[in-house]
Amino acid sequence: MSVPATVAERWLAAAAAAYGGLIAEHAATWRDPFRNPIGHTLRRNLAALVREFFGAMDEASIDAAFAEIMALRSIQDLSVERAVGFVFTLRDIAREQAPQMQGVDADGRIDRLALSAFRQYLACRERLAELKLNEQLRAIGVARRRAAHSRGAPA
Amino acid sequence: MADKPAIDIELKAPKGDWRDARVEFRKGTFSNASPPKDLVHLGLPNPRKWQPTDLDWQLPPDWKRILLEGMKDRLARYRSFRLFMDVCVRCGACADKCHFYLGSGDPKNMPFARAELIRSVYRRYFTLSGRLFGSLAGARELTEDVVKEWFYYFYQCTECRRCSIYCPFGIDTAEITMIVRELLSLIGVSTHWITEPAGNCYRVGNHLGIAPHAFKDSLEFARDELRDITGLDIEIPINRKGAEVLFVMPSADYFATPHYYTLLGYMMLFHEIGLDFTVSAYASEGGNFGLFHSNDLMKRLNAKIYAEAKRLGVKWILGGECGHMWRVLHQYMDTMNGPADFLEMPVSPVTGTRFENAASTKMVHVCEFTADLLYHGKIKLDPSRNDEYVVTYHDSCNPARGMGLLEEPRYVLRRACNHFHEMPAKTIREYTFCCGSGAGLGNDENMEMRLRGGFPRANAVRHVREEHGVNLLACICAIDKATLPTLMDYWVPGVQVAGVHELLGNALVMTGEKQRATNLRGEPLAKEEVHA
Repeated sequence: MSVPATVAERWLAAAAAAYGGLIAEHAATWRDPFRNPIGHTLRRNLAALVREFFGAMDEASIDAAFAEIMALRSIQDLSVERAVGFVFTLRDIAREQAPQMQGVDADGRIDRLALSAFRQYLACRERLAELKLNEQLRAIGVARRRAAHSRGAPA
Repeated sequence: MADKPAIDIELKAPKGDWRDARVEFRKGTFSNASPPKDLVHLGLPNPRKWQPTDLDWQLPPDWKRILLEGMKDRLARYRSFRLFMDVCVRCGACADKCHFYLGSGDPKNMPFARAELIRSVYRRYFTLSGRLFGSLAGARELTEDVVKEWFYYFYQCTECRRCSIYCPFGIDTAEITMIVRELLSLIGVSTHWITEPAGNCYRVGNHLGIAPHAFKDSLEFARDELRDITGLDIEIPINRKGAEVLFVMPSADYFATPHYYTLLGYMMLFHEIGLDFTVSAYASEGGNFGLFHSNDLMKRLNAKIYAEAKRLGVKWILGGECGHMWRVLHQYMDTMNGPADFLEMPVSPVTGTRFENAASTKMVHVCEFTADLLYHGKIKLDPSRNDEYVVTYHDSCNPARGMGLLEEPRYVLRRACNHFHEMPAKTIREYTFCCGSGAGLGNDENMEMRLRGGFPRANAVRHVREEHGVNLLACICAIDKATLPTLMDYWVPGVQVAGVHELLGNALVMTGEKQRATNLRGEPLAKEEVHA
């Protein structure tokens, strides 16, 4: 297994561990995306993040991967610390698995990953309020449509 | 480095004892309690102001006796309940089948573990081994914490029955949930989002509490909009005695979006085939939130459908797109409020098809009815009017698993749309994943829990969005239409939600219609899609 692949697997295990024993095993090891959607989402996006960590650190790609991970973790029974904190476990994993990175500012890269994770976590929490509002508006959708119709405005 | 994956996970059981009943009610993960007025409207016990976050739930002084006697009574009355309490061997076949477990990772959401929350009490009070050996025999005392735990977890089950498909013993965990909710209702523990619509339905006729004049206004508005879209005057008869067919739909169809576009689709279809039908301002609700509360409440709310069919003198009943409505109509109505011996075997007036599957209930699903019309070539469709949509289909749990309605909606969709793709096999048909908001969980205070429960469904939609560019999720359940848009906006942005008959209405070529400039949502058709 390549170094990035090993790092990704170790990081996945750390991320899954936040859920507790039983689910951690399930989330990290079962590869069927439909029997194990949590593990599938973590696996594919952590692999993308590891590629960036060892590569170009493209901000858009990092944000996209954390957007999917944080969509999940921000609505689960995880405190903010547990939802986001796993990012920092990459420090020890990288030091152990990729000591050759010493020439690169690995800590700086991990800080940038962590900032993206926090940004996406907050964005997900903000979206919840928007979702609730839109759902309420749809619940009275016909009344709103009638009001718009009587004003001659598009519904 | 060896090829072996370097996963190093501590394999240990979750912290603490599973029998520890204490739960934390975190904002966003539970439904609000029923306020006193709901319980008063319905004549239910123990009306008072309380919330699940309160330390004291103000249970009746003899709450324990009420629950245990309630269990005893139901164990005697329902052989299935007794069987489900006894036969589970904890094989784990159901463990990873529950959408709430898959989306939350909470072990108590594994169906056998959730059921164990009441089985442990059953053992303690109703089995010799439990009475003698207590916790050694997997028994637990019934405490206030257990009541709170029941409330927390049995209001996380959407009664979707996916787990029951996998159970080698055929245990229907949804029925266990139904019994526990019914027991809780005996001591005044229920949720506002269930008892308010039920109360509205009982007093006014529909969940949303829409009075008859507003019901009529809504349908007249639909008539106006249909005139704008098609150029045809499409009448929607209300309370018309002597009609051949009574049409019953969920109230969201005439008040909420995107449900409303489905209503437009039905009415266009009925006009085109000249169906002799009526809707009713009294039976103005097909849905039945009593199902999520107790058998008695379900029966009370359901009674108006047959009563109104009798009063109006119709021959049979046609039902709209809804989920749990069909669970009640298909599985319970006949024995609760039947026999409907004053009605006739449903026969399509257009094709002559006898719906023998509905010989007992006398009620036909609109998708069965429409699929039959299409099969006999009685209506003409132009699917290119739906070309902006790349469609997939979500099997709503109750019509799919509750009544086996798997082919008919697909038969309609494949003819109304040019671009249709199925989600992966183990996520559709009888294996369908629930929306995560059924059985009375679809309220906004419970949003985070709903998003967890809906994640497996959304994950499958995301798969077909990435594979095929799917941008529309079709379904035939009113709760789906209310809550899947939220689920999609969160997990798979860019995917809209529509009813099957909305897409049918878009495609339906009507006699004498004007050139269509818009779809049923009033959105302009692309120029090349404008059809005479």
